[in-house]
Amino acid sequence: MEDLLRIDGLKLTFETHDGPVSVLRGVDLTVGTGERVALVGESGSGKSVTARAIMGLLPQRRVRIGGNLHFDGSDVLKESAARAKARRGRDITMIFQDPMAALNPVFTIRQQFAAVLTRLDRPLCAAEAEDSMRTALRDVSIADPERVLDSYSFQLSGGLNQRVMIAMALVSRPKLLIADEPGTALDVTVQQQTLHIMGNLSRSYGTAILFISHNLGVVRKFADRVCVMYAGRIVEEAPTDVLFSDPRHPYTRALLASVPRLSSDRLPEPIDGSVPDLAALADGCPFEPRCPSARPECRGSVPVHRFDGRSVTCIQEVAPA
Amino acid sequence: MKKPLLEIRGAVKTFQVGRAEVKALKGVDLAVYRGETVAIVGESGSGKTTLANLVLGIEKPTAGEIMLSGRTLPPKRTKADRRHIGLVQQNPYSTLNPRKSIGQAIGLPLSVHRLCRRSERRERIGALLEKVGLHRDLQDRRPLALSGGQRQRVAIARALSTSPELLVLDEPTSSLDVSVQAHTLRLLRDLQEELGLTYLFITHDLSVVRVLASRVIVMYRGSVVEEGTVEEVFFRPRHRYTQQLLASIPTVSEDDDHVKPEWPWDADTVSTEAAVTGCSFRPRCPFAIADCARKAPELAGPKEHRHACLNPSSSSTKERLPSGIELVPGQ
Repeated sequence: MEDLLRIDGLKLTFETHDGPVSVLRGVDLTVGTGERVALVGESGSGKSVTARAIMGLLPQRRVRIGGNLHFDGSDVLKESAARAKARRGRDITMIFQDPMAALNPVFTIRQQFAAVLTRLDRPLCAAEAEDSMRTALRDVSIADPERVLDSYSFQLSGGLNQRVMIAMALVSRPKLLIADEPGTALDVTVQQQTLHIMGNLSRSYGTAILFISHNLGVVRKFADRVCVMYAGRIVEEAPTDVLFSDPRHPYTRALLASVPRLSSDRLPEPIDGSVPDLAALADGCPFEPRCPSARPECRGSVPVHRFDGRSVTCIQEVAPA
Repeated sequence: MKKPLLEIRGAVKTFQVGRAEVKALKGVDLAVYRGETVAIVGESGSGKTTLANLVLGIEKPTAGEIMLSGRTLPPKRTKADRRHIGLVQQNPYSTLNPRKSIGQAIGLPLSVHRLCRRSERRERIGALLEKVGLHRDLQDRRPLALSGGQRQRVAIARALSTSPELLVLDEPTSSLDVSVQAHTLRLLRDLQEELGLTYLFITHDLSVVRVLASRVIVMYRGSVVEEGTVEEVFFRPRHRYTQQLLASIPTVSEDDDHVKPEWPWDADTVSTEAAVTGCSFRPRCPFAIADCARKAPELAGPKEHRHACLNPSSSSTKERLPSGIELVPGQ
């Protein structure tokens, strides 16, 4: 598969008043054309900042960037802000956690949707624009597009707003859709429904998805491949079924064990300790202090094992459980 | 026959929004027995938080009564009434005052209810912190120095400070990372065993209900649509909304997938229209029949499992699908 997005050794350090904080410490990630890749991790693992780097939305000052980030043949980290801006909303679009917060309450949905349409390659006349908005809203299973277009976001339910966001994000037929915790702010039933719609539509348009979430169960249903992040690094990457049926990294295993199970009324296993302070992180494996199988060598450099189309960043040859 | 610790009879709550009246609760009955955990699940707008607010005395019911240990609680609670019910809220970042120390946060209920002498105060606060698995010296720190999980423990310690019999847990784990959530769930279970606490557990996350609760009440738009033991409701859901809720649980293994009911996710369109008559779930229900528009179904069935649905699921969820809809496995 052709790589649509290719990230090699991405490092990112923020200069803060208390000194430098390394939030990304060598991230390797690829997304193929039309592929759905999930980036999973707890808060502070660096998943959202990775998304911002891809969008070209990192602050210009007080940040040090290393490594490479190529999207569709161009070098995102080296190009001008104008190029990045031209790509946003057309080739790469984004859906956020809370649709209520992402839509502007003082403009109607029609006004906001029309603004999205001005970003298309070809300008549309008013009638064409109206037509394309209605079609886009029908595609996300909205029964009465005209009424929705006339409404303000606060007059619509969370589910309707989320469908509007999906319609807007896909109307340009982008090459990549970044979904950052999509619908986490919504009710579970509504979240599942809208994710289902997003998945179906992006598949039929051939749009690749980078799915960012803290919820392992949510990505299991929607991703072809899962990357597990911890403290600014991808610690394990595998095809979705493989990762869930045969997790190898101790962190992935611990994370899976901490999820409550429907099939059992046993309490889930917590992970001891807490997420490390990124400002005070040493060179070795960041999970070492919390790892049940840690050894002294874990404090040195950690190798990446690559086999059977997966990768595990751990000092040990991690055997199947 | 055991007497319930908490009993709610015919609770109705209407809010005046502009000129319109919003019925947040349309007559809810509920009994919670000593030492058990009853979960109230439902989406936003289902009335679960309003119900909790009535129990806590934050809101007054429009009709109905709330009884604790057989005694009707007055709409205006006295200090003594408030002592018996504790509250743990969702977001530990906003429920602790950042300018007050942890000791002050936990100590306030102690002094309001005059539960200990000034000389014993530090000791009492330290003991409460230890009870929730924190170091007693943490009482001199501010909330900012604590992680989300630690703050939630502080909130639990504060709720326990007046030795209440009933704890209202309003989404206690939903803003925490999964690895931290597991810790909090353990703590809540251990405290319940140790202190014989009774929990009214409000959540939209059904996966934590299974591990913590013994009975579950499913609410939709101000009414109870299904209630029963966790085993019954989870494995033989009758109401279509319960079924959809269960099908929405994100699962991480194939074992869990088998437990989940199937749901026709493709059979869905939304509109801005709301239901006026009949079952309030009807506009979203792919299983609605003609009768659903005519009358609002009432809760019926044996005590261990009751539901309010005119076209309920039979034990196998694969039946009774309208033709032309293909089932996809639960999402």
